Amino acid sequence: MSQTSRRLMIFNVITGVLVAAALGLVFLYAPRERQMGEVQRIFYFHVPVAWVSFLAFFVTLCTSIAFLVKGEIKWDKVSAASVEVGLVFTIMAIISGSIWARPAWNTWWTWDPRLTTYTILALIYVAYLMLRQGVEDPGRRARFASVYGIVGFISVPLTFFSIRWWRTIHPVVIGAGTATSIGGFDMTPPMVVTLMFSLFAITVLYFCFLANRLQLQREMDHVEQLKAQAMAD
Amino acid sequence: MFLLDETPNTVAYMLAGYAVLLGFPILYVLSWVVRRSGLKHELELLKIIQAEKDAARKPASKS
Repeated sequence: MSQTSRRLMIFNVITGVLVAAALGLVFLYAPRERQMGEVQRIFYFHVPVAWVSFLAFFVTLCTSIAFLVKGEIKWDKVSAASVEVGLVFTIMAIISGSIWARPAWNTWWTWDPRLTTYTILALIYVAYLMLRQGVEDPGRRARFASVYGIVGFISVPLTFFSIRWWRTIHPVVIGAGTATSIGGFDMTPPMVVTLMFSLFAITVLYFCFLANRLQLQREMDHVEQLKAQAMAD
Repeated sequence: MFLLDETPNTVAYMLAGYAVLLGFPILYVLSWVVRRSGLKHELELLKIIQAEKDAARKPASKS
């Protein structure tokens, strides 16, 4: 096993322990919320997962800029990997939110500003991956994807502030919610501790996924290189 | 629903939520396993092609 693989393995184990500890806090330490009951425990992973999806797309913004400035292809590879991982977190947040909404709002889905903007955000980044598939030349693909990654990021602050700018039923976790929000609650100290720890664990999980996805990308590049050599012979 | 005096039983929703929150990352990791096994298969094919090319070159160089 190479040095990089060993480091990655250690990182994977640490991440697994952190996520397991977060689950322990969610189910054994955090108290049951009186009004919503057990379903409120979804909140401890739903919120971090949504936050981390924003972080993933922010990383894509930074690496897209880095590619356009420096022209190094490695930044484009990080952008693509971050979008893929970010989309996994986005889908998790949408579906877990929908499951929470059924008992909280009495509906699986509503065209609320937060839900709508977040769905648009997901579609924007699905289109990012489709764009990459549609361009053959690696240089052109990286340039197009970088510009798209920068422009597409506009959807992130729009989604984040949607619950503060417009009338919405989605609760605000940090700061005062709107009068129309349904399902919000006052957090007790154990709830805050659980949320913060879960946020930390899920952030580490994102970086772990990103590192593993980049490792896979290196292996894919190696095979592509060998294929090109075989064709040239 | 939450304007009741008693705490509602929402365990099934919580379980469904965590099935998604834990199941999706597992599925994503499985997609890596599938992609990696595809790469291994391609590498083996490339090795076979290379070996065949080398075998074809040897008699030609001998003659």
